[in-house]
Amino acid sequence: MHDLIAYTIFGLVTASIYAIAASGLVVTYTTSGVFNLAHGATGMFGAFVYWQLRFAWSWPAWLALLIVVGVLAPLFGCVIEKTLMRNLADATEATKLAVTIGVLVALVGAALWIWDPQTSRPFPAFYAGSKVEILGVPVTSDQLITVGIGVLCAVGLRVLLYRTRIGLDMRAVVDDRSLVLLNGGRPDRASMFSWALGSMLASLAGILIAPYLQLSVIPLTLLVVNAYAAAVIGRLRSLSMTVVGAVIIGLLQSYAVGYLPTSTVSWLQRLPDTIPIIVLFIALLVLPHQRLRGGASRRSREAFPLPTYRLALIGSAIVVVAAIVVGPLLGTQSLFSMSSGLALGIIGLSLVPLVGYGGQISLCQMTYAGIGAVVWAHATSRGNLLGLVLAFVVAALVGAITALPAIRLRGLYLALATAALAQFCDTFVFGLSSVTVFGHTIPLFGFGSLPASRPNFPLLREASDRTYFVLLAAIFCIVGIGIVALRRSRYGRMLLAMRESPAACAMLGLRLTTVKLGVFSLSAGIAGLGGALLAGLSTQFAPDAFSFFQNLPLLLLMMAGGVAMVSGAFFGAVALGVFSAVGSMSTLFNRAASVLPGLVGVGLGEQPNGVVADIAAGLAKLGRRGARRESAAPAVADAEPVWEWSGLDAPLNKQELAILDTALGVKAGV
Amino acid sequence: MTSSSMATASPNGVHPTAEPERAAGTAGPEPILQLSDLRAGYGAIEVLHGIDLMVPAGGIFAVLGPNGAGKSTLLKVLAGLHPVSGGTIVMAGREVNRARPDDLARSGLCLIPEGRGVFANLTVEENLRLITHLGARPAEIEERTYARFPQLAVRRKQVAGTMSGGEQQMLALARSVATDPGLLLIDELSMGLAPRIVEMLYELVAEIARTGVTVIAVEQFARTILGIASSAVVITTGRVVLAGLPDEVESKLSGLYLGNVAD
Ligand SMILES: Nc1ncnc2c1ncn2[C@@H]1O[C@H](COP(=O)(O)OP(=O)(O)OP(=O)(O)O)[C@@H](O)[C@H]1O
Ligand SMILES: [Mg+2]
Repeated sequence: MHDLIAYTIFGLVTASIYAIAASGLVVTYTTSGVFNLAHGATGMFGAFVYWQLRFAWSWPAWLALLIVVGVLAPLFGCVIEKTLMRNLADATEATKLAVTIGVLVALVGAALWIWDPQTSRPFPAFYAGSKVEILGVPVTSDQLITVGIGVLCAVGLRVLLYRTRIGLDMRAVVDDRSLVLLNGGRPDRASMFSWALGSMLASLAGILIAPYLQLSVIPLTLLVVNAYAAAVIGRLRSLSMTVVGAVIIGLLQSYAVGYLPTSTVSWLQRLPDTIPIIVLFIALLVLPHQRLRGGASRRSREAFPLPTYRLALIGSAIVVVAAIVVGPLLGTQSLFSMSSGLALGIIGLSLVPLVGYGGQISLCQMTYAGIGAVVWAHATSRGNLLGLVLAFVVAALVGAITALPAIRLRGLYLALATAALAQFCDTFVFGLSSVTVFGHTIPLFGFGSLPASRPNFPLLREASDRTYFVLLAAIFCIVGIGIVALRRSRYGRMLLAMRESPAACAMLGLRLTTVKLGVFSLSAGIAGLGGALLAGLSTQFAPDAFSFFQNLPLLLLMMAGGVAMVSGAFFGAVALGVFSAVGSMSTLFNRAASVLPGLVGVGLGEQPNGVVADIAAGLAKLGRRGARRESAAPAVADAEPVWEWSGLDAPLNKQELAILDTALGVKAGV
Repeated sequence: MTSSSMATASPNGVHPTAEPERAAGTAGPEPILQLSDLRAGYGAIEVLHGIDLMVPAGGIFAVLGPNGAGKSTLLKVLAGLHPVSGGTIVMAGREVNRARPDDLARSGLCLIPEGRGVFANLTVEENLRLITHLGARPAEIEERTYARFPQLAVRRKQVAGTMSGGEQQMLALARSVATDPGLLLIDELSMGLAPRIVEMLYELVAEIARTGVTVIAVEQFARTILGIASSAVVITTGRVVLAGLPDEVESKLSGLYLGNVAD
């Protein structure tokens, strides 16, 4: 009994913090329509600034709290809203998410820059030490304060929303934004206020949670996944259900710590950490989604040329020749950086059919890459080609299996589900020491690293760094040409149709579920192949290389290059390589290089097509023989999204294909 | 449609030279709204193919037309919710092609959009409280509104979305009156309502018009609105095909819907 009360109290303490963070997320999302993936990073940064004021400069706690939560955080929220989020009204869901991911990466980079991660920073709780007894259980005053602040926030938000004028405005904006305009109201003001509020709540949550973790950048940033789970239970809309969600997660987690036999069953040790992730996943799958906002198909501003085989072949030849020529000119370190850029680029290529063509957002490609790497490490002994094929196949299978439950999700919800999956593998699966599948025991990281050799083809025995560099370039090109072929096929058109208008697709009789499942597993397979090659590059690899966080710069740079084009992915690969090469030159550059992808992502709000498409468009404008442009603007009316499996089961016949082609503006026979 | 059919839409055709007795509030010949060659569309598809219209100040101006004619699009464009792709809109002497909807609202334009013109998740009271840009205190606005729409006073604490369709439209009307508009745009007030309720609502509209507000009312079903309008136009597939006094329009209407427009 005593234990139960103690665990309940501790659960409520964490629940309070989750509730504060999640409420901020919900308020911002409902009012402005942008789901802020940088919410956790904002909290992390707030906690660091607070530490600086409170402990490094010894300010009084109340003053530091006032400055951070009352001044700096809302200011930051306003600036972000005004400069970035306001312009995103007609952007696609992918662009919206990418911009907030950009903010996340930039904040993380900046925090690592300003506060050297090697230094330890003690972060004592408020008034730590003094204790009171509740039902015979000693409770520290900081725990009481945390719960008190949580309750105060919940009540305060309710009063704000239902008793004040700005609250009324915010609710009106949530209800019907354009009607607010018609009333002479200013929805932008409500949005800005909601961002200020969201940022305040995020920083408050960050400051409150920091004493229970260590003050370190990535864990604090990713802690927000726990808040996502609570917010999703509140269907990203209801504050009271969000609080309920937070309480469920907080209690479950605390009981898991208390009652799971973690000392006897070793694989249970990491389970408590994954509970919010599991809850998030279940909530995404179970809660009714028809009424959830987000993911309604929108006409995108994005438009891309249809790739030709000629261009693809010429491009590939140039890339391979360039790799042969440039290789010897690079020093060991730069060669390694550029090679890893190419290997990451192959993983990035997996985003082209998935995100670029199909419009499905995935934040777990690095996880599939990690699976490919593990398979490769395990199977190298069986021969190279087979090993690579196995890496592809196993990753593709895992991709299909994991996509199966997520298949009905779209847009933001799919992104969150894939993020949950990546986090789950990070915190749980990759930490196991081995898994046994069909009698095969495959070693996993178990907190350490795995050895992997390089592929050993007949002509490239014992691939040196330079040969491996060329090999990577060649494989990148082969995969790229495959993707070009896919884009030009009927399947490619279906993917495009799925992105542009799921409703119209269903009417045309496309089997969206099959199309989606197919593209998910194909892209997981490509990622797996890339992961195997990346593992071979460094010959010894740790799970960090395939963590959730690694997805973010990858996605951003691929989108910056142009995620709907193979050439865009190549641009992203080179950029990743160059950033890493520059970063290895000095600590200053290293720090700058970790902020850069974030800034690039932030710029996506302005240039959603990516660099390569813009250059191509610019060239076409100059009157050159540019790539033939294909309008991404659908001629089909944007209907309300229908249930995705409502598609008929018959495949497309010629006539329907022709309708689809006209609808997508593709010239028949191109 | 040929250009000859557009001739009927020339400004003189719309402008009532002989004022019908019904239009009590008509305030002289100064047009409150003038559209020339107005074009708009969705993406690459043009929906309004050059609308020429002159709406005199005062009275009720009826806009009729079949489904998909572009009536709602026209009102959205006028209210600044949808971009103009060609031509001009002159409102009370000012060109407002690029004006923002909130600015238009603040300068006296009010649109009751198609479907619902109320905040469904807010209470009646809160719906009215949102209108504060006029400088009036919320209590004052509420008082005035309830005096005029006594049925709403009883329901002040009710969430708007739970009221009947007729009550919701009444609230939408009340809300728009509270903004003290000079020009009131109404999009299919009748949608989904019983004929008796529609009659009652349009009586309210006529009352509002008598106070000097110019009303532009879109309706698919002509009879009721033509009974109170001072002039009318018919739009089909994005073009004005007929304009004139309500009686004239009504007599040609049946032929028009069958597709044989009398040129
Ligand atoms: N958001 C949109 N995207 C694309 N096309 C649209 C959109 N809204 C309307 N349209 C098209 O524009 C045309 C005119 O639509 P509009 O709603 O203005 O017609 P309407 O005259 O109001 O019809 P109704 O009497 O049915 O309300 C229609 O063909 C419609 O399909
Ligand atoms: Mg309409």
